[in-house]
Amino acid sequence: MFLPIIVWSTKENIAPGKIGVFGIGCLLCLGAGALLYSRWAWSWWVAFVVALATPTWLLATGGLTSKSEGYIAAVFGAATVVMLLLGRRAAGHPDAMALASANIPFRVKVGIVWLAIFFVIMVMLALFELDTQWIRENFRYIATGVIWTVLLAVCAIILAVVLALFGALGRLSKNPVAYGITGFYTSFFRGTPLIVQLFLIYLALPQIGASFERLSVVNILTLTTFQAGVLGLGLNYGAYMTEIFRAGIQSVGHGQAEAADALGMSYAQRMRRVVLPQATRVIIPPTGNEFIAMMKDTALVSFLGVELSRAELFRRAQLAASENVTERLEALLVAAGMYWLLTAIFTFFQRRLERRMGKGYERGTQAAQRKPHFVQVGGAGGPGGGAAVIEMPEIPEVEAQPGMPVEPPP
Amino acid sequence: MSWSNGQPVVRVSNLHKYFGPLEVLRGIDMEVDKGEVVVIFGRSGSGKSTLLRCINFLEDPTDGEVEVAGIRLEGGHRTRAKREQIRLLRTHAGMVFQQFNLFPHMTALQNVMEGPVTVKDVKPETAKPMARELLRRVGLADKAEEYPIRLSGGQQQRVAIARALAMEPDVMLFDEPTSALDPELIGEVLNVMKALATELHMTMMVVTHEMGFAREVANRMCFFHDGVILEEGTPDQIFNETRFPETKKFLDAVL
Repeated sequence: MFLPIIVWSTKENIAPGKIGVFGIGCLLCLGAGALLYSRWAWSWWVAFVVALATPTWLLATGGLTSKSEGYIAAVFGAATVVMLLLGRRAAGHPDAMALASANIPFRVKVGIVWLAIFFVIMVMLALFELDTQWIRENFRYIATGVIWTVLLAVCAIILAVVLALFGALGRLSKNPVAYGITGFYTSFFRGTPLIVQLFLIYLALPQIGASFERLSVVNILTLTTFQAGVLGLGLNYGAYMTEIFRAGIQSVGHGQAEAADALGMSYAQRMRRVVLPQATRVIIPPTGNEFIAMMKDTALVSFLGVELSRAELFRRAQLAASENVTERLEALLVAAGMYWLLTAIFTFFQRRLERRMGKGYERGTQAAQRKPHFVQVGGAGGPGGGAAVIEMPEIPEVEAQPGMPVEPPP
Repeated sequence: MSWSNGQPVVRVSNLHKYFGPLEVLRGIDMEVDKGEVVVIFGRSGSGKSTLLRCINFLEDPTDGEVEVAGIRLEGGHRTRAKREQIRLLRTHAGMVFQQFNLFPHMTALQNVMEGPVTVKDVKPETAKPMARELLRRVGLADKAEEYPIRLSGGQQQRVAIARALAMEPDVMLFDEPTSALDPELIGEVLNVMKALATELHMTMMVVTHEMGFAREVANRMCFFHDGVILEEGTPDQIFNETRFPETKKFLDAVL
């Protein structure tokens, strides 16, 4: 409620007096809403009058300066009146409201909260007067960066998985060489910032490469920004994921290794056929998280100064905005929306994969009961738009919410 | 292979096993002939499971000698060459665990096929009918496509027996195969083991507290006490002419 006022007040053409008027209106609405939770039946009439009067008053005092603001006030007012009419018979009976609220599924409530958040965001963006024309013109250019972002993340995660696998086997090995090397690897790459590692690989390695050249060895250490990005992200995340893989392998019961041994399997056969397939189940969920985190960290690669044609999301947003400094917000909103959309999509697929990995671990009848519940909350379109998957258990909720459709009290 | 049918399948001589300072096995000498069923019993901690685990080198014997199907190995540290020998030895000794240890990510059929296909390079097309036949033998023909979690404990243990048999071992080692089972499921596993002994004449070493099974199936019984074989004999001798008070005490407690 108050955020739009703050945003609104930053606009130059608004007189301080009008801000006060708008603020008082908001406070009145809040007060009337809170009153609905009381035991007084007449509180409903107060709320109803306020809901009608506030927009009218705003109109009369000239608090609304543009058409869009008029629309927003109208939508707010109409929604409030509709909700009040639906909840007419519950007013003054807080217990009835609580009971009725308990009948509404938790998911629906969360969905409504999300919609409300998106509505407020949309209102704020509308008040900012975003340059939608600019967004339309530049959206394609910025969104194309998704390809490079995903490509970067996919290449890097493949490298990271390979490194993590060998890292974990090394950390679990009794061989001092393997243990030592992997220990150094994880220690160094977990102990230094990713951005430093990226610069080391991109800027410092060519220096070593140059001395190789003097020894008439081919210089392979001068990398493109893409190669450096994949290498840096892969090495860094591989070090973190080593711990994930190690824990996953250790989670497989000792009896499994013994059973494999007793059949006469070699170390490699035991790992490939028995231990790793079972460890994968434990490894997949956190690896998915790492992948999603990495997708966002690809933005750091833009600091290496990627070529224009291969620029990823964030770089493109910066490039597009640099032509025209006033469009920074639009460009970054588009980029943020794309990142969000990407992570939402991959989270969805990760959950599906997770469920598939569960076969052989759930008894048929119980599997259905244990299946987690998902809700897909679609965001409104536009630059801030996106979708998010929320996992939640079904918990009966007894908190009342204002304006919910309410059953009549018995 | 130097091993022929006349020789014992398993020979253990002067076997010692330490866990740190604790001497669990104190010089075991034992021979098991082909087709013989030996039941090993005794209090927990007496070293009977350790002996079984030393025979297929799940535990490395500290000292002494183990010979299975003509493959003779010394105790002590593992060398690279010895590791290969151990693997070879293990393909001749099938092991059944107390906790079944089936591979949960494979169906019953895949569990049984796993050994031959992975270790012996048998083609899946050949191994599959073999595995089905083994599952039929242990009475689980209809459960071939089930994952272990969907099977009862008794069924799981029978799959585990089939898995060990699939390697066509010369000796089967049973490490308390019925101890983790509900009482009503013990019978089905013991029946399968009985059939193994009487119909297939499988050489078996069984660590168990099931004295009824021992009396009925065993050719020989060994009573373990404090890391040595205290008393040894036919079931008849053990049950009716008990020599040592320790054995008597244990039998009284179990029966």
